[in-house]
Amino acid sequence: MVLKTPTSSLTGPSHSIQLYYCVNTPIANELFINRLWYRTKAKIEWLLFGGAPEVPTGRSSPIAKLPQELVDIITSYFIYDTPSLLACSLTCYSWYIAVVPHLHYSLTTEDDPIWPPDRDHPWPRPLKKSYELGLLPLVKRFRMRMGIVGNPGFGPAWLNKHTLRYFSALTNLQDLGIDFLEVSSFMPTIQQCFGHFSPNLRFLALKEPVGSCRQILYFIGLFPNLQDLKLHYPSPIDEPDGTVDATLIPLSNPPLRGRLTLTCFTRENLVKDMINFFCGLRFRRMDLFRVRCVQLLLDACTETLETLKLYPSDPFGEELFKRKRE
Amino acid sequence: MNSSERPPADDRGSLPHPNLSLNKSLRTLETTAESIDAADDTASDFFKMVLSSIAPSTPLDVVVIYRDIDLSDMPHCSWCNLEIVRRRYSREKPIDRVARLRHQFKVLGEMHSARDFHLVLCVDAFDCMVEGSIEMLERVAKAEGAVGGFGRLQKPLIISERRTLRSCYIDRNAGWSREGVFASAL
Repeated sequence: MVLKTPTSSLTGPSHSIQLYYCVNTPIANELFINRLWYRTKAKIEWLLFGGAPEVPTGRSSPIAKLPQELVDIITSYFIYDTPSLLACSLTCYSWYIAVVPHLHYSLTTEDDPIWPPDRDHPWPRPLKKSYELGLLPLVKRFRMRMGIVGNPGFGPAWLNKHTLRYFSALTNLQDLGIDFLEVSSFMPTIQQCFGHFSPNLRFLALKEPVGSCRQILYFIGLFPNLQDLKLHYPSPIDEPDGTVDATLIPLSNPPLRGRLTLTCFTRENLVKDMINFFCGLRFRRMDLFRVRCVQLLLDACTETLETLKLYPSDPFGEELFKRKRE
Repeated sequence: MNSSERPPADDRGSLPHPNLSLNKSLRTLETTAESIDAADDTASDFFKMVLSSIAPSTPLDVVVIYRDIDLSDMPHCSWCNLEIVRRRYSREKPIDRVARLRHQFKVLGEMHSARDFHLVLCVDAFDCMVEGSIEMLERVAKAEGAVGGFGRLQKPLIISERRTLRSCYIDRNAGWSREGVFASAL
């Protein structure tokens, strides 16, 4: 029997840790960041290069004498409670070490669709700030949100030498989500921009990616350890495949044994190509809403599918699109 | 696997439905309370058709996911109490909410005639609203069970999954982030 994860788990950093807006003003926010700066830098150096961390020489507290394993267990109870995590981080060095991976687990950047065209877009700012503080190696989940449908998507123009440097610093990313990724614009050098995510990336979420089926599969194939895939189309569209590059073969065959989530998905050819290039599908979980090729997906995962999420408000899947087109 | 090898689908409906007869590993069927409401009278028939296509010999859990907006008025914690978050919540009266839940339970009870399964109600709510949401679901489920609303279905198991606002305070350097509001979007 497969059940949902119970609450208050002790699963460590693999959970979905998210952060709240607990600091109400940018000024307080800045003060807090500055306060954490030296501690974080020390933590990262300790993680990357090893060696004994500098022990605070101030007054000793009984809390500081607790074994790190116990501190980790205690703080894991607060993983859903960011204000408590923040309070813990200011307690002492060992508590800070225990909670800092949780605090910086997730990072979201967002572009403003009504931003004046003559000014630099604000989307790289969180990345830049985290980069300057040396926090990006701690980020496990990154979301790149774009403006509205119809605006230019996330293309090579968004990655200059500075932003590419920030991207390169996301060395431990496991979960990547990008809106309106213009895969076709990045070709053929897309590996230079995203290839460094290859070793660790497990979850990929793409909202309305732009490109031919082969180009999108090539992008997915950049991540040889990918388990979960999410393709989200806010409204059902029939996107033409465009110019098919017959020589474009995915660089790897990702396992894709986790969860597949498709929303308003009309690109049946993409699924067929995925089955073809990745030697079949092996997803254990599927979440399908307004998907044209429901039965194709179900038949492709007959041996592996354990959990299926369906919506009775979308009872006829494939038929819905046929009726719309008629 | 060739789809032509698939046994014929149950022909009770005039439109096709997902045929799960070949998915031998399937153990859990999930849906949302919201979609049961949206489907209205067709939800029961849809699930009956889907359930009847699953091999009867395998144990099956049917998990219904309740979001906090299905069960609560407003978030309680200060960090959830933001205007943009509050807008998500309807002004539905408690009595209407109970009636809606009872309708959902009736649909679930009817589904049991197509195939045996174990019902699991999953509360997927903001951290601060989990306890209240579970309490309400338990209360309504208990009352419905007392009047036989679930039919021959066993007493449901109620579980929960916590959800938090998804962002990082560092995001404030870029301005407002709406990720917490559209947590399920991507």
